Amino acid sequence: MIKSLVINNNGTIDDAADIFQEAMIVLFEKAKLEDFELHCQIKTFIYSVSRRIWLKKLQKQARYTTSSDSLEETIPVEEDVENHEKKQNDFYLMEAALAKVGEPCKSLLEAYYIHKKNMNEIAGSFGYTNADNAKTQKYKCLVRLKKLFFAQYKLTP
Amino acid sequence: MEDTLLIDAVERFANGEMSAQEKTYFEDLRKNNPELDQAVVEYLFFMNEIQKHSKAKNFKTLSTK
Repeated sequence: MIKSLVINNNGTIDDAADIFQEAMIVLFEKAKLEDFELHCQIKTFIYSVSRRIWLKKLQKQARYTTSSDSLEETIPVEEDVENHEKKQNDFYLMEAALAKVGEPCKSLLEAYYIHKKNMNEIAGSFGYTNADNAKTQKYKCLVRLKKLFFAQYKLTP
Repeated sequence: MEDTLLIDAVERFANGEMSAQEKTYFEDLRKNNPELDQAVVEYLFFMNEIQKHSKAKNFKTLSTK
């Protein structure tokens, strides 16, 4: 269903796989919300989100040539797709800030915040003499990361 | 307050690691110092961004394995 949507509208099989994965993430994000309710079949939701994302991608690339008529049933998903885009955007801002913060800051912050290592483990693997020194360094890195993140964050609408 | 001390306080505050006494003291400090209050709000917001990022990152890693 997604494959034919994308392929019949200027896309490739790889595009279709990407779109499908993105739509699954949108569903996953939505399902995590406390007030999650879906008033249609999952396939209708996935199809609607995929269609919305794909049409937006085409518009961006100015490849949008076909009519927006759909053969399949769709539901309005603008809000879900927008929330997802905001999340994606924040994600890339943070990735960019992490890339700019440099080593060993990047690895140190990732070890603590992403891999959830404790300060003793981090001190050991990075070669700090004790956990307190590693912690002080982590705080300094966080200050730098925060500055980098907000410098970009304030620029995006 | 020095930045690293502030982050330490904010992290322990956010993680519920402060004693009741320390928490009251910290909240009083915030109430009486708008600049400090603003700095705390900024850190809480940023830490929430990092948490969201780490969840997304861990999820993405999972889904490409």
